[in-house]
Amino acid sequence: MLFFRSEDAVDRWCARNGMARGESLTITQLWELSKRWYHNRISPDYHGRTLSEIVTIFEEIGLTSPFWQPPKA
Amino acid sequence: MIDRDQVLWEIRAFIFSHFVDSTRPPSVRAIAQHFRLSEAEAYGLMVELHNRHAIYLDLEARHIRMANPFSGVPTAFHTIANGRSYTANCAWDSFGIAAALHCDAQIDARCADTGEPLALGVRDGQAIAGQELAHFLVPFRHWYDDLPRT
Repeated sequence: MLFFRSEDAVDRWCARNGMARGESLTITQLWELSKRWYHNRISPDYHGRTLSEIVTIFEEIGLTSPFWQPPKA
Repeated sequence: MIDRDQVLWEIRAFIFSHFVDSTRPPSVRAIAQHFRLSEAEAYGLMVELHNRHAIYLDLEARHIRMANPFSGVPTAFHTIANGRSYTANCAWDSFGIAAALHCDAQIDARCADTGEPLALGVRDGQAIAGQELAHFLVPFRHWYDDLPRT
């Protein structure tokens, strides 16, 4: 994941590198995702999370497009 | 005889604690010495953590490449927090370090298109940003196909 100044910058970078565009998050969304994903990461009690828990995190910050769907079992 | 599962998660905690305290990953030897294991036993448990997606090893170099959000190898992503400069794996993990440490942070960020510096960070639990974006190239269903590329 990379930082960009703007959506135009994302488009230019993808075109220059021959990459299909993915999805952009605002920094506020990224921070909300970071808090939910990493808040307990250095705890000795953290042993990972389930796909269902991951999908819930995505949904909480509005990431519901096919891009954020889990792999099929 | 060791309780493999208990030691496994204790090793995970040791790895993350080492990153927090030193900004760097512990070596196989350091892990072996701390847990009074042979290096072969320690590395075997590290590979098990890798297989469970708890850490990501460079299997050729036998080195911890990622313990997300921390990076064990140089990258272009740096987070200054608690007076230390941590190396992150990507844009997301730059903020992830602040979230994991529960502290303010200065994010050393540049626009991937132009290289211009971006003033990003976390202060009092809020993200500091303007109109900047983080771009995710790989859909979630493929994140673990090639984690370093993701």
